[in-house]
Amino acid sequence: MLRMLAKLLKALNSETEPGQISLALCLGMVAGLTPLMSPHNLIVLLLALVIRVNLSAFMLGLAFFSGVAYMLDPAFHAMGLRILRAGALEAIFTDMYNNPFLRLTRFNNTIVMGSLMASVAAFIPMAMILNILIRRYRQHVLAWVQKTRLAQMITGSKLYDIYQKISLLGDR
Amino acid sequence: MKKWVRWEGLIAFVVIMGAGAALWLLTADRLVEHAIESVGTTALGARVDIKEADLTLMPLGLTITGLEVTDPGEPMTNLMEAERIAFLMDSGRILLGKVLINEISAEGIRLGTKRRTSGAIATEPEDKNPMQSPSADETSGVGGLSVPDIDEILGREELDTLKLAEAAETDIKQKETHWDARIKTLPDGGTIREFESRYKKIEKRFKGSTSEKLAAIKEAEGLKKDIKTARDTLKAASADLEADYKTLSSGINMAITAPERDIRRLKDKYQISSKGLDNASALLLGQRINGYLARAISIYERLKPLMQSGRDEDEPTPERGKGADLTFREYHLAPTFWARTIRASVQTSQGPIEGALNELSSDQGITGMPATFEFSSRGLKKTRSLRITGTLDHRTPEAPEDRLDISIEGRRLENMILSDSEDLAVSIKDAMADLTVNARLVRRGAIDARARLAIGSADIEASTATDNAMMEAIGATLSSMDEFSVRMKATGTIDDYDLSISSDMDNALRAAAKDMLRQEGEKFEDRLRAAIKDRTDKRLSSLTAKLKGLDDQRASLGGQSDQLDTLLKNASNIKASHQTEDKLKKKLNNTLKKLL
Repeated sequence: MLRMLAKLLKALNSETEPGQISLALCLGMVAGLTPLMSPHNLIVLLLALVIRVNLSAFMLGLAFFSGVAYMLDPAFHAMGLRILRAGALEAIFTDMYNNPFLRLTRFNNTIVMGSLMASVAAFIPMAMILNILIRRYRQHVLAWVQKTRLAQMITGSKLYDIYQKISLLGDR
Repeated sequence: MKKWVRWEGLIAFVVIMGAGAALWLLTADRLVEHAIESVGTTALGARVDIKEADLTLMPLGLTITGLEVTDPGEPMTNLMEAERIAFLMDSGRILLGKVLINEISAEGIRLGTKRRTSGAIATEPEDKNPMQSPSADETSGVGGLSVPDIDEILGREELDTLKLAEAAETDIKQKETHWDARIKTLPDGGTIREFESRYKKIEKRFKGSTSEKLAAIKEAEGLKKDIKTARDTLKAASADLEADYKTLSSGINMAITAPERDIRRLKDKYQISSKGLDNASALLLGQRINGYLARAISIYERLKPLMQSGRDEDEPTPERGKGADLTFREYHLAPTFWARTIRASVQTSQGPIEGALNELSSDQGITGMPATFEFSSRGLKKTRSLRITGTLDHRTPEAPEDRLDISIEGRRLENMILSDSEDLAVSIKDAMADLTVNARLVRRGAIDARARLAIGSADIEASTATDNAMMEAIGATLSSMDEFSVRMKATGTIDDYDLSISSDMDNALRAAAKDMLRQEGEKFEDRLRAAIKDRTDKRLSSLTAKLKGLDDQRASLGGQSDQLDTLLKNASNIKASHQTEDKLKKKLNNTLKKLL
C-alpha cells in the first residue's frame, strides 16, 4: 500500500524541468478554461498522461484555470458566438453540425468554442512565459522561500518526513 | 532531456477510460432515470417519478417501469401512472440530438390514482398554477327562491300612500288657514241682513208719495248695485274655494288610491317570479361543468409547449457556465422529438380503454403531420361505449387548430350529487347518460366548445330542509323527472370564456311552479294588502274629515250667494211691481197741470 502510494507521489512529482511544468500548466489551462466534460478534454488528458509533463502542475493548472473560467464565461460566450456566426466558416460548421461524432464535441456551444479557441491561442505564449517565470523563480526566489517560516514549518513536519522516506523507498 | 513520451501514461489513460465507461454502463440507467424525472418535473411543475429505467444500447432503446406523473393541482393524486413504457430509438439520430421513435408501447396506464407521498415541488410559483381551477367535484347550491318577510319589506320600503297623505294634510291645513282669513273679508250674514233691511225700507217708501217713490227707486238702484257687488265677490270667492276644494279632493283621492299602487309595486319587486327558475340547470350543474372545462384547459396549457419547437431566437440567451447552443442548417431535417405511434392501454376502475396517439412531434412544421389521437372502449362496466378522438394541428404555430370529440353512450350514473344546499339538495340516485362533446381551439386561443348531456331513466332525489313551499314544489318536480337534457356552450378565449348552460329541466320547473307561483303570489298580495292597510287606514280616513271644514265654508258661501241672488232679483222687481219712474213723473206733471 505504502509502496503504491509512494509510486503515485513519485509519479506526480517527477518531470520537474521548467518546460515540463509549463507544458503541464498549459494543458491544465486548456482543460480548466473549457467545460470539463467536453470530449476534447479526453485528448488533453491523454496528452497530459502520455507526454512527460508534471502531473501535479497539470492538476494545479486545471484547478486554477477552472476558477478563472467562471469569471471569463461571458467573454468566452461572446467570442464563441462571433466565431460560430462567422460567414466564412458557416459551411465548415454546417458540415460538422451534420456529423454525429463531431456534434458530440459540442463545438456549436458558444462557451466551448470560445474557451477552446482562447486557450489554444494562449497555449504557446503561456508556455513560453511560464517557462521563463519558472526559471527566474528557481534562480532568484526559491532560496528565499525555503528560508521562510512557512517553508520551514512544512519541511519540519512529520508529513514531509514521511514523504521524503517514501520517495527514497520509491527510488529503490 | 529525458524522453518526452511516457508509455505507461497511455496505459493509465486506457485504464481511466475503461473505468469511466464501466462506471457509465453501471450508472446509465440511473442517469437516464434521473434525467427523465428532472426534465419531467420541471416541465410539469410537479413530481415525475420512475421506479426503474432500463437503457439498452444494441439496439438503442429504453424501458421505463413504474412511471408516476403527479397532478399539479392535486399533489396527492397522480395525473397518470404507467406500469411499463418501452420504445426503441434511432441510434444515428440520437447523436444529432434527435429522438426519433417509431412506436411507443405504454401499458397499464391508470388515471387519478392516489400517491403515497406528495408530488408537490418546493418552488411552486405563487399564482401560476392553472390546475387549481374549481374542482370538478364541487357542487353548487340552489337557493334564493324564498319570499322575504312583509315587515322586513315595509321596513325597507317607503310607501307612497303615506307620502301622499302627508302632502294632502299639509295642503288642507294651508288652505284652511287661507280661507279662514279670506272669509273674514267677504260679505257675510250681517251684510245680507243689512241689504234686507234696506229693501224693506224701500218697499215701505213705495207706499208713500210720488216723490218718495221716486226716491225709493233711486235707493233701489243703489241697493241693486251693492247687492250685485257683494254677490259677485261671493261668487268669485266661491269659485276659488271650489277650485281649491277640487284640488284638495284630488290629492286626497290620490292618497286613498295609493295603497293599491304600493301593493302592485312591492308585489312586482318582491314576489317570486319564474325568472329565478330560468337557469336552474346552470345553478345545479354550472360549477361542475366549469370545473371540467377549466381542468381540460389547464391540461392543454401544460401540453402545448411540448408541441412547439424550440427554434433558435436571434440572440441566444446564455446561461452562466453553460453558454448557448447554436444550430446550423440540417441536411436531413427532423424534429427534436418525434414519436410516430404511441399505443396505450388505460386501465380504469370500469375496464380498459385502448387507443393510440399518432405523429406526436415537437415540430409539426417539419413532419408536416398533425398529431391525432383516438381512444375507445366497448364493454366498460358502467358505460356501453366510449370514444375520444382529436387532432392537435400545430403545423402553423401562429394558427394552431385543435379539436376534441368525445362520445359516451350508456354511462350509468349513481349517487351523483348536483346540489348540497340546505335550500334544495338534489342528487341523481341512478340514471343513464349519453354525452357528446365537440370542442375546437383555433388561432389566438379562441375556443368553441359544445356539449350535450342526455339523462334518461333517472331516479332523482330532491329535498329541502326549509319550510318553503316553493322549494318543496321544485323538489317534487325534480324528483318526478325521469329524463332531461343539458346543453353547454363555451365561447371566447382560453383565458376568458363564457359558459352558457341550458336545459329542458328549466322549462319543466317553470311549468310546474306556475300554479305554485300564482298561489304564492296571491298569498303574498293578501298579506301585503293587510299590512299596508294597517299602516295607512287611520291616516287616510282622517284626511276626509279634515276636508269637512272647507266643505262647510263652501256650502255657506253658496248659500249666501243664493240669498244675494234672491235679494237682487227682488230689488230688480221693485220698479216693475210698482209704477215706473216715467209714469210717476208723468202722473206728477198731470197733477201739477191740474193744480195750475
